[in-house]
Amino acid sequence: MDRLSTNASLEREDLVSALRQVSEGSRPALAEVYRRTSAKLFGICVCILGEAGEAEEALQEVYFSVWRKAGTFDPAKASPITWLATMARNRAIDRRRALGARKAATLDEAMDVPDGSIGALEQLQAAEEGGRIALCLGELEERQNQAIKATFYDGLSYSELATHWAVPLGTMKSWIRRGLLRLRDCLER
Amino acid sequence: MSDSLGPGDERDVLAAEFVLGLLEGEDLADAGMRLSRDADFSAAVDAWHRRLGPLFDGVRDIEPPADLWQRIERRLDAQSRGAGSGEERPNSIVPISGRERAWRRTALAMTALAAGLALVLGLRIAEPERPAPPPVRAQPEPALIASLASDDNSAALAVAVDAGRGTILVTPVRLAPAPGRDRQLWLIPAGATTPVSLGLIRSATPQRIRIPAALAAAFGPEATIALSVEPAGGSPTGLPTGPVIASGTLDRI
Repeated sequence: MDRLSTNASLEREDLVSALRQVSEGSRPALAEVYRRTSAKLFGICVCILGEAGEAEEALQEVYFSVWRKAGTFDPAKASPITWLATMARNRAIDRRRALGARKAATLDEAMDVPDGSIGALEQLQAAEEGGRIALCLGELEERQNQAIKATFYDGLSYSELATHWAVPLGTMKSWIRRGLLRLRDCLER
Repeated sequence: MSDSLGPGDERDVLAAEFVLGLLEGEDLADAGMRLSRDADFSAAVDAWHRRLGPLFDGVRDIEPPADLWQRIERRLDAQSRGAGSGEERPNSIVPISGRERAWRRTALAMTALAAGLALVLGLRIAEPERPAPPPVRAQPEPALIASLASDDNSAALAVAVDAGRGTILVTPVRLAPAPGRDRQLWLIPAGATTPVSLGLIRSATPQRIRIPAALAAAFGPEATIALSVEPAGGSPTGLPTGPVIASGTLDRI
């Protein structure tokens, strides 16, 4: 564990410094950021978009944004990998929604069970920080736990979640909102 | 819900929904605006990024195709070539003065058409998109409409902003085939010079485009919508690289 966390903090420092160089216009630094993070970010895009072609487009847009926006990254506010992963997730969700209702419906049929969250928990528990949030998610009602994970990993909107679970929109909102507050309270304990 | 929530809870729930991408339409636009004005809300959003960040550890790594980095580099190369040649790229979006009057005339003629289309299509397209219809607002804001027509008649379209749904409805009236090229739609917020991509217009079928949260406030009167011709797949640089063939200003119907 010690070795792991030392590696993680080195990785973090390296990424912070690479991002700083990217903001100064260094292409090799961007290549380094890509080398270290593209598999993680591609995994996120594939989870949300469900197909490789769209995920590849999204991933290109992500690194293009990194090139332009690296200067806005603030290491005091977020870890570099969270910043990058958030950018990938948002880009993939925008793309998913922009693909429109028809495409989204096809995607949902394809992933009858929201599949990004399968196996996520085991992997989370293995990671040091992830262990805490996995624990707190585990304290929620099962349906809250599932719905929050489907939102995070598969990028489902409230209406998609409600359709998927076959409950009224208001019910779904209420599950999620209560779940989020309990999650917050557990994490802040 | 509201019975058990304190003001801090409501703010935190909204912040979490914003971070998770759960908000749509008007709620999304409101949250986007609040982010820039309300420091407590902005701090709540940061806190949720911090809380949920570890969930990314649960995503399995997938190696992207080997040539993907080269594709990114090609985009970057195209961009730096563009930036190196001459002045600020955004200037290319300002209409050439001689043509401006012609555009205005066409635009005026198209506005009525656009308004009519938006009303008809807005209703028709709205149906299958959401399982539950959104609540009817007592005082709907007048829609914002822009009409765009190219001088060569190859493209004409109407753009209607639906703030309630957080989308824009793009209705091509004419869209001649352009083999090997794509038309890309851009927003230039009022008072700004840098265009922001709204997406590709590939077919003559009306399409809805979701307004990104950060742009919600930018879709106001006097904002400009423009259409440029780009390489297939869209501008490689994030800014218009090809000629801007049409533009129009958003106005209340």
